[in-house]
Order: sequence, then C-alpha cells, then structure tokens
Amino acid sequence: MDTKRMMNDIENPLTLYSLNSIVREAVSAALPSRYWITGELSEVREAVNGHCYIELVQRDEATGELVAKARGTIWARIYSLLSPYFLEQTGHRFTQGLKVLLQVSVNFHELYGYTLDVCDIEPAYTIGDMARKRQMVIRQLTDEGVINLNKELPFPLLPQRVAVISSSAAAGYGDFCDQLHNNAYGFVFYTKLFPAPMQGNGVEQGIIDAFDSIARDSDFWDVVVIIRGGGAVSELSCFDTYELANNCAQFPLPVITGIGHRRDESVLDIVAHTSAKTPTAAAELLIHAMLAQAGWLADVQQGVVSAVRSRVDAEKLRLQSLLQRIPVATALFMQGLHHKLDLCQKYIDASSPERILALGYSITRINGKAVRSTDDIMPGDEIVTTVSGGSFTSKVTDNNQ
Amino acid sequence: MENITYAQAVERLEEIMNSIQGGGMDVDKLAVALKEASELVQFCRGKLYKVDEEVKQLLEDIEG
Repeated sequence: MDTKRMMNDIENPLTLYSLNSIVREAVSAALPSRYWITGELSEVREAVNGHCYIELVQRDEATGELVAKARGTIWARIYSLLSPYFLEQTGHRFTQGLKVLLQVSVNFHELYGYTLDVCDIEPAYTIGDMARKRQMVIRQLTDEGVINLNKELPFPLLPQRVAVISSSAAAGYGDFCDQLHNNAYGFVFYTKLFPAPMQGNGVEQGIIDAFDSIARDSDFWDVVVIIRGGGAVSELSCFDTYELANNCAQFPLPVITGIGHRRDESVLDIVAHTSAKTPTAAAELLIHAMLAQAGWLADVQQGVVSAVRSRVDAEKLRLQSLLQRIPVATALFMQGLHHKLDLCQKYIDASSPERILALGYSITRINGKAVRSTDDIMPGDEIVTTVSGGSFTSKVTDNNQ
Repeated sequence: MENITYAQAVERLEEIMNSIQGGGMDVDKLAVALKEASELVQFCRGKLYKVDEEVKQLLEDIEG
C-alpha cells in the first residue's frame, strides 16, 4: 500500500478504482474478523433473488439524531434461515424500525462501497429493546392516568368536520380525502389539512404543533385524524414517544389514527380514541359513523309513522269496542228495569184486598172503620163484614171470647 | 329549528318517539308530533347530505 501511495502525485493520479481497491484492501486487512454490532434497521428490502438489503442506523440516545449509518446485505442462503427464525423468536417480521443485534463482516467494494455482510442475528436483543421502550412509555402514561383519556371522549354523532394531520405530499392523505369526499352515500365532510412531517426527526414536534393549531378552534372540529403517507417506514418508532402520546391522550377531541403499519400498534394508536389500520380504513370509519346515523334517521322516520299509526289504530279499536258495548249495555239496563217492574207488579198483585178476600179472609168494619181488635167493638154494636163478592151486617153479642 | 344542533334534534326525536310509543301522548297531539318529527328528520338529513355554506366559509377562515 505504501508503494502505491508513494507512486501517487499530481502527475500520476490514481484512478477511482485504484483508490477504492486500496481502501478495500485496507478494510479487509484492518477488520478481518466478524463483529457483533447493534443498530436500528431503517430499511429492509427483500430482492427477488432472495437476498435481503438493509440499512442500519444509530441514533444519539439523547437527541434521537442519526449518528451512524451503513448498508448491509444478508445473502439469500443466510436470509432464508434467518428470516423465519427471527419471526418465530420475536413474533415480528424482520422489518424496518427494529433494533437488532447482528454479527457482521465488513466489506468494501470498488463499485458498491462500504457494506456489512450479515452472518447471524440475536433476536432476544430486539425483543428486549422493543418491549422495554414501549413498556416504559405505556407505564408512564398509565401511572399519570392519561392513557385512556382520549378513548373516554364521546364519539360525535356526525364526525363531519375533520381536522387532518398529515403531510400534504403523502399518498395516504390523498387516499383518505378521496375515500371520504367521494363516499358512495353522498355524505358531506369538511376536511382541513394541518401539515406535519410524517417521517424524519420532525414528526413528534410537527404533530404536536398541529394539535396546538387544531386546539385553537376545537369547538369547530368534530374529530382529528392522523394520516401517514406511503414511503419508507423507517421512522415508526417516532409514533411511540411519550410526548406525542401524552398530547394525543389529553387532546379534547377524539383522535383517529390511520398511520398504517405492519408491526404491533404504536403507542400513539394505543392512546388514540380509535386506531385504523390504514388511511382508507380511517375514512371508512367516519363514513360508517355517518351511515349509522342515516340508518337511525330512516328507522326513526318509519318508527314515528308506525307508532302514530298503531296509536290511531288502538284508538279506533277502543271506539269500536265502545260502540259495540252500547246496545248490549242498553239491553241489559232495560232488562233490569223490566225485571224490577215485574216484581213490583207481582208484589202489588199479591197485596190486593180482592185477592185476600178471595182466599177466604174478610174485613169487618164498624162505622166504616176496620175492626182490628175486640176492643174496637162492644156488644150490641152493628158491624158490616165484607167478603169476596159482597157484605153482610151483624150484631155483636159478645166481644170477650 | 334554525339554531338547533344535530344532537339536540336527535334528542328531541327520541323524546317524541318515546312519548308516542309509551302511549303518553294525547291523540289530539299526534298530528303535531308527527309534523315536528318529520321536520326534525328532514333537518337531520340536511346535515348529512347538504353542504353547509356557513361551515364551508368557517373552514376557509381557519388557518391550517
């Protein structure tokens, strides 16, 4: 190498290839072993030939800024074993956003530059890191009693006025608006974009700023929807931060997330009122809420009409039954009267003097007054006795028998 | 009807419905209730399907 370097001056420049060859030899000589390294997968791309191309990054723990980055290759014969093993161990596909512990060898290629060849992986590291970070944030939100605050907000009957936090360039935002405004039922929605970066370092602050803008007119809005666009998915962990989750949880309006992801839901999804898998699913959710109201209105309209109808029918029946009861009641009443009159007649008949006289009884009178006691008459009195058919006169001989 | 919100309209509709179904409403008032319910349903439908120009204007005034 020294020889090559010595031969080089302005008159004898190296070709780029020669320089790169020197670098390759130097790298190879300086880094002969395999090394266990930790890093974050910012990109994972499976090629049709079975090889997997990755990008590894390292962030400053305090600021989250990128401090190192390298490309890597997992050759097909290794990846075909590593990929299912990783999935089996972690429950996650080998995808971007994960922190990994990899065994690598260092390569330098004249054309492709600096790359790492991945030989092995330790899934336990990833499991531990993911769980630790998420759990820490979730525990803090739980301890502070805020984790369910947004979920506890009542969902509006008509989620029509929608504040959208997204990036205007994001495909997901376009899909969402298209789905919403061209819904098959003709429901009206009012949307406004509150722009925020959906990837990169500014995600957390961008979304928090958008929340603040929406909060200034919180009476106007019905719901907030966070939509993430397509593109590289390397920054999913930015939806797991405490500050963002805390802002979302305590927001005065229901927040719906449609940030599309393949791994476990983000902490933002956990604290949001409702989390949808994709931007279009978030739009569907709003459309369904409207559809439920439209259905309810149709039911009520029909319900009121049929309730009135059944009430009127019930009243008709009541009248009808009243009308039917009148002749019966009248007949019964008349029958009762007749019966009473008959009884009276019978009583009167039974009590008539003619009937009593006909039975053999008689009436005795003295001076026109009926004799009721022996004291009413004296011997020598003339009395008139009436019997059935006539009267006869007698003289009292004795009244003391 | 002008100043009523959708939620208030829904509440009133439920009230009318319960009153008719529960049999607590005078027969004489049925026609009036039916008319009110029908107007409320139309009002609610309008919210779902018709663009409210006032809301649209407010939307434009809000800074995104």
